[in-house]
Amino acid sequence: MERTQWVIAYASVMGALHVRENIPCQDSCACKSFSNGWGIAVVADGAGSCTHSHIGSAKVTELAVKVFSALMGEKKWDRLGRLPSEDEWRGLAYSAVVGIRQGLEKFAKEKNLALLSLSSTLIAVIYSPIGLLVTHIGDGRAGYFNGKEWQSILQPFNGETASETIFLTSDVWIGDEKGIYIESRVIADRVEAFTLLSDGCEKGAFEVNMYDEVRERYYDPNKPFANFFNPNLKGLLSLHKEKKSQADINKLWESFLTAGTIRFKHEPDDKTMVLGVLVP
Amino acid sequence: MSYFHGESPENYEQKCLCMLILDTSGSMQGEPINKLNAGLMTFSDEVKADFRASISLEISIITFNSYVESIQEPALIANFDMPGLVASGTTRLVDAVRLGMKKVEERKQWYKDTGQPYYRPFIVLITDGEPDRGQDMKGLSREIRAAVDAKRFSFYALGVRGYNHTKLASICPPNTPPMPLAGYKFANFFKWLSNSISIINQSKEGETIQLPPISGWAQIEI
Repeated sequence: MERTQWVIAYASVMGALHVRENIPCQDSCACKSFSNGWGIAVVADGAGSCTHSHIGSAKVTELAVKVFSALMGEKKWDRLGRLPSEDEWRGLAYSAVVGIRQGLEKFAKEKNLALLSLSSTLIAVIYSPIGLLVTHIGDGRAGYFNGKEWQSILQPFNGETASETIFLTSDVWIGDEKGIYIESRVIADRVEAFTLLSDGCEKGAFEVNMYDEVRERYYDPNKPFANFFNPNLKGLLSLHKEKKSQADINKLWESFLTAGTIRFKHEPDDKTMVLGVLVP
Repeated sequence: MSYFHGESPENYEQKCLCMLILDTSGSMQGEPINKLNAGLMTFSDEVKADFRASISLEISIITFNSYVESIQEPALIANFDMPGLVASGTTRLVDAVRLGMKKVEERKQWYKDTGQPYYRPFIVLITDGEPDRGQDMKGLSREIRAAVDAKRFSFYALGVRGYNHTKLASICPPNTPPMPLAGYKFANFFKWLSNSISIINQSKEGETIQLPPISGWAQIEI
């Protein structure tokens, strides 16, 4: 019988610099399940010290869940048990992101806020036991485990320097239906676990800047670190076995993201991570 | 029972270069150079105490008087001892800043050649006087402003008691005019610098950034 139950932990916590400077957490995340083991997970990272980017990321998250839920209602992939093609998904994901942007523009107008003050990145993943539908703008990381190994499912967008990225509110991606700035992918593979994270978590969970001694160069493997994720999958399954509530699971996850490793403890940036595992 | 735990991968940190260009001319003798030396030690302590800065911030130091000397090549704080400075001589400010700009570009090229992601470097000029006669301030002004506009580095200048504000402002980008130091509060300035670097490196390109207040070390009226 096909397994369709997931255990998911998701949380956004303030980074050390934000705590010190009394800046609100500018990351947001959300999860929602559909039917037959399908669901959506969203991570949004508000832009730096902008006064309203915490509001922006929260609104982007809310709109993303709404827009992709409507898409699922229309396409019924969860009930049909099939994934769209890459081309179909790319077109639909682009339209969905446009819809989210329009929702944010409307919100900005209603609240009399400058759109750019709400700048945020976006990673949205529709998950299922038979594959993943991914779309994202900006940085952050995401990956999945197919029972044998962990793999990444997106390439973060960075410019020449480490602090350059693009946001949902950037105009550069408008018209980008070929996917230079908006990366959209269909992962047609068995999915035992998946993860999405903002860039505040990446150094603590992914291999992102390693040294190749042969080529004498640093490089970004963009690889989920198995020794980080696998113990936490076991932790999630233990919590499920003990029938812990979603609120309890997320509270424990929050503590872990805050200071559960040396990297997380000293990370100045806000941290968000969603981690889901299919129950055996 | 700890449900959540795991190893962290051994990632190298993205680098940020802070180029300090320091006036060690004769007018800095006595209290100014002593306080500057103490300030540099404060900077060292602040960076060491910050886990992230200690593994990502590379510091380079150029001094200038009658001579221009690179006394510290870019290095993480754990890899060198902060030098003690001695003051004498004149003020070859323009030559020093040009050397600093050249070294910043060299380091950036090395980052690119070795595949290392990096933040936009900072150049911080600290001076109390007028540059030597014949120094090409106009040319330097054009070079700095063009480089800042092209986002090749950020440029800040700290004016120490007795400095010529008009001359120093002429080489500074309009968005970052010279900052006048109150008394010899170098230690407070370097604490602010360490904090500001952390904040700037957490922001994204193009954002408006709110740096910590400068009232702890800056002279508000010129």
